[in-house]
Amino acid sequence: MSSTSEAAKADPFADEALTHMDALYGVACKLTRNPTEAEDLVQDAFVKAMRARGQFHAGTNLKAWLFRILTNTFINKYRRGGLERSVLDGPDADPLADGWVSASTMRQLRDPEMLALAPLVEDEIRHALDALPAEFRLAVVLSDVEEFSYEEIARIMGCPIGTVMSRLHRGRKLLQRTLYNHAIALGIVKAEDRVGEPPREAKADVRTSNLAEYRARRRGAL
Amino acid sequence: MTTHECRDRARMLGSYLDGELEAAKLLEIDEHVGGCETCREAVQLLRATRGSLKRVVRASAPGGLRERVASAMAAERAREDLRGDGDGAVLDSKLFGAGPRSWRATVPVATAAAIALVWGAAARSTPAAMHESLAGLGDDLLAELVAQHSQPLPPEATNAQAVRGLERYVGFPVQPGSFERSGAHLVGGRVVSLRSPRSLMLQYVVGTGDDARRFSVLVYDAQQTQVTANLAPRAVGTAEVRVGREKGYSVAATQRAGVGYLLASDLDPDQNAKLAAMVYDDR
Repeated sequence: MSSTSEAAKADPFADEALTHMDALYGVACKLTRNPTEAEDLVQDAFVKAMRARGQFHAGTNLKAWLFRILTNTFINKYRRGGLERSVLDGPDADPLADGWVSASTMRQLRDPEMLALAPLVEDEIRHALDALPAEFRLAVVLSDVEEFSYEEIARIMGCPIGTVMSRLHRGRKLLQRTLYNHAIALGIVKAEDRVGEPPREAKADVRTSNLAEYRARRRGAL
Repeated sequence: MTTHECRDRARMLGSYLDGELEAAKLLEIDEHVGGCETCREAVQLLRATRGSLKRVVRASAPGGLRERVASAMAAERAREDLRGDGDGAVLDSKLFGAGPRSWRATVPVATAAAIALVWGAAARSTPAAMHESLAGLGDDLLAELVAQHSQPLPPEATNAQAVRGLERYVGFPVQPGSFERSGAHLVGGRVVSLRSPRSLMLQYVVGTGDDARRFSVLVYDAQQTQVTANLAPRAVGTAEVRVGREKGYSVAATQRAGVGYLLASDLDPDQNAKLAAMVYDDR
């Protein structure tokens, strides 16, 4: 590599792009679920951005453009068939019925003081997020953490806005259900009978089984 | 207890929280949430989850990464200067062209080109002078597509299931149904072993009787092959398509998830571009 920190400082495009490094790295960690791979992914994305910077239209959203490159790089490098698709990805494979628990149970899941989940529930959110299929995980992170608009997320993920909405809805529901099951396991809330839903064992709740597996592994390791 | 109405509205609570509802819906949900404890709690829970997600996901890049990346970017720029690319303004030929690159051997360099990035709707045509020098890797694919479109060979498989069965010869997913949503009818498909990796030619007919028009789609591995030639970027909805004309036919190129699609037809360029954009429609 040639010498270069001087040159890097003199490049306004690189400078501006690098202000988004923390955001890209945070999302890369969630995509790869591996900090080392996340670093490689971020570096690849920035170099590609550098190479393609002539295609960036000044005045449009650089951060969203960089996320698009990051997403494409991830797909090309790790997921040649595209983002993994969930078994729930049929139109009504699992409607994830809304109105899933009562108001009082929902209240117990969150922290009354902070804009956050109850601490014990929050402990589980990292695992719950990692257990989501990649396309849901990315949609949720781009919306809830990076606060991109649906239109921007559609461009980043290369899909229609309707798909963004459905991925977000399903992703959030899966996340909540995992957190809810966790809260039941911890005794923070009591299981509720859910009206109009099939019996629990009949449900294709893959995330819950992943969580159960995860717990079993963790218990085994201790 | 949740009412049926709440269930209908619950799907909208996320959009409500995200500020993505139109004004009339926003007022409706606002009013409902004001009077319905369950929906109010559902919004609060979404908000709490968002707060926790921010805490969990936000990260600082590890020390050293910034320097490493800055220096890799500067090295990339230095290489461009060396090749005389100017300031990255002339991309298509240089970016997509073959050539040894010293940058990190572990990374497939061709994927840079797989990002056919046209951000925003503005279409930039490639300067005409550049076309002469284009000898991109995939241009023979375009020639093959047009040749096979004008004089089609009989298909090896004649229904969607059999066409999908050809996946094992090409090594990437094939979804012949993507284009049938336009009302087109799949005639069949065949493997094209013009080059390695192989690609797949799909044939369709759209319309009936005298209005029937044929179109052909070449599906290829966009990570191994770049089609560079003479195509102008165009946005179709949220899809990005490159369009042009070749030997009197409309051609369009796009890609999704590492798979490239090249279309040739007798249709006008707009219709042709719309057909290509169908690969972006939800499956």
